[in-house]
Amino acid sequence: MSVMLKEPITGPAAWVAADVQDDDSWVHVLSDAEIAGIDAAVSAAQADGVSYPKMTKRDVDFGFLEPKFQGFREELESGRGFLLLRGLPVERYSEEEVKLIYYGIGLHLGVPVGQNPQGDLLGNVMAVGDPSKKETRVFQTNLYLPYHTDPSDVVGLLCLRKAKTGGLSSLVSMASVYNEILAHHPELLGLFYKQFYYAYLGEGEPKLTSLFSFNGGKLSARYLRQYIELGHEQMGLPLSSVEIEALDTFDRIVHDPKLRVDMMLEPGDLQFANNYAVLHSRTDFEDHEDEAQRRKMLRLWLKMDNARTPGPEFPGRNGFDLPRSV
Amino acid sequence: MTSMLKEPITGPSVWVAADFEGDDSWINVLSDAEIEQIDAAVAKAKAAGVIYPEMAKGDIDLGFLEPKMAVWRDELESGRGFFLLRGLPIERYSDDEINLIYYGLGLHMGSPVGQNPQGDLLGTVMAVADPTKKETRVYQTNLYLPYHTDPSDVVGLLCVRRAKTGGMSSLVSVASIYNRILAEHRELLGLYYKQYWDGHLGNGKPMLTSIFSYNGGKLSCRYLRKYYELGHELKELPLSTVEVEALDTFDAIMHAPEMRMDMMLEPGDIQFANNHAALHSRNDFEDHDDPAKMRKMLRLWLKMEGARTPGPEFPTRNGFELMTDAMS
Repeated sequence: MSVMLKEPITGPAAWVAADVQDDDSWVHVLSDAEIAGIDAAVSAAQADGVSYPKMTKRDVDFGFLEPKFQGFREELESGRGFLLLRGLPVERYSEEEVKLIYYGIGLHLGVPVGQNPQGDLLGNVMAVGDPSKKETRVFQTNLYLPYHTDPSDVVGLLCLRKAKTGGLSSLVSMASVYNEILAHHPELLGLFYKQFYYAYLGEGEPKLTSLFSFNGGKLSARYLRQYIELGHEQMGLPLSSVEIEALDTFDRIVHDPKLRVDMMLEPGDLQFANNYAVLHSRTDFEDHEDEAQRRKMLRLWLKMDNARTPGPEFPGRNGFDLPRSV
Repeated sequence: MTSMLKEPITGPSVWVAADFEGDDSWINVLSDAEIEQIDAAVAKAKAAGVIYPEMAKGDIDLGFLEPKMAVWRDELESGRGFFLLRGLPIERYSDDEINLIYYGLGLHMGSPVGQNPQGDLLGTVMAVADPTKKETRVYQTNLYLPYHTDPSDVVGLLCVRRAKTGGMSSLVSVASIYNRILAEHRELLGLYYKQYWDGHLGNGKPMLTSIFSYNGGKLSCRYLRKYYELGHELKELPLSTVEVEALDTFDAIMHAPEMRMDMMLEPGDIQFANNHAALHSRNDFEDHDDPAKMRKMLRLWLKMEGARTPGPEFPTRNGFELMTDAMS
């Protein structure tokens, strides 16, 4: 009995660029009635003195979105693994209101988890860090972010402002990457199931994890090459050349234009992706001079009730442990 | 550019048990004339005061075997990777004479290398140690020795005395194992090319090595599962399930009866095997009570001039003495 999946993955998870480009069923546009419902819920919450992050699911009345969210959860876990929610009139809202709505959506869709050791539940993705500094995480710069997964079941990305140029978001289906490896590089497959040292930035010693895990009939993947390289460097165990070959092959496949789908997130667009099923990246960008106009994304990490359970060699992670104060 | 061989290996190094049914071309029998010449060389060397191990190639005149040895070297490196030399009238020789002849053959075939930190050049393989003690190496017991390779280009095994029962020697072709992995378990292949911690390879501390290395058009294999397990234990890096699966698969293939070539070594038989190309094992055995009759094999480790050169992730190793040279 192998720990490996040796058959190609079929079904909606195994999408390629062509499947998505000529089909906008992954774009869910909020109706005027839904926006009115959101506005009403926000007013009621504000009147009750509710503000992010000291709020629970019940503090903002998005219950009317539940049928929609039911479909979203299903789409993320058993469908394509990603979707776009469009139409939130972010320009009409104050920053406080944006956070209330966005975090409220998170509370209704799943369970938001901390994104850093400080326990931030909504992460600012802006070019505010110095790229030359070692402690700067790439999401805090305007640099190209290679394809990767985040350490949570689901990641949400809300666009508040676009860059002057660039900053194109891109997704690739893990199932399609898997099928490519299986079909064209089967001799490398086992290497993705062995454990690597993985340096989760901001946390202590690198931990062991496999990059693929097949459990309960579902594949899970975890990938951030820089963390693998850093983990092995920190533990003094050089990657073997065949392991580097496996990672190079993986990188080549995820960049294949036939697989990946690029999308420019417009203000108000909210992209959700299942981290076990989809890798995300964004291209580098040129920002506006005016600080108030600079590209700004708000990130949400969600733990999901219906999430797949990877095997024991792929320890589950949903964000950072929250400090006691949060 | 991949470092993996993705095509099946062809040629004489790929053999299975059935290939040897009715074929004894792997057995080279010494002729009466050759034995006479060996006897003459021994007499001459003894008269000159030559004694193992203080002797050089020129000290024993086995040059008449060179044409044959050229063929044997080629058979080890480019042929089946093993052969048997039969017919040495071992019962006629004293221990000193046996050492002189066997080590002399080693000096003419290749370069004998040390088999332990003490630099022993002929190793006595006998059930002399207590199997319950941790420092006992398995070859010093009467236990089953799983298939493995020794850390030298070539290993020789001279049978001086057989056990009462058991102690069957067995060989398996690395190329045949490789072809089966490629055909039936291709998704595991990369796992044999990654490095593992080998608990025995380094001098005292584990060293990294891959199991397969493909370089210069030739495949090399290094395998002794227990040492990989020991190395990972010492380094506190547990083997992943898929790595254990790869080792289990390797073991299952090498134990398949249709793969392995069993042979009972008779007194006087010398088995030579290329460690890069063939794995060897032997069954457990019941020994004689009389210490003078106990099973006894003499082992020879040879560094060979024309040996294949594995890639950098498969550090070459020829015995113990040359360890520091190999590392520098």
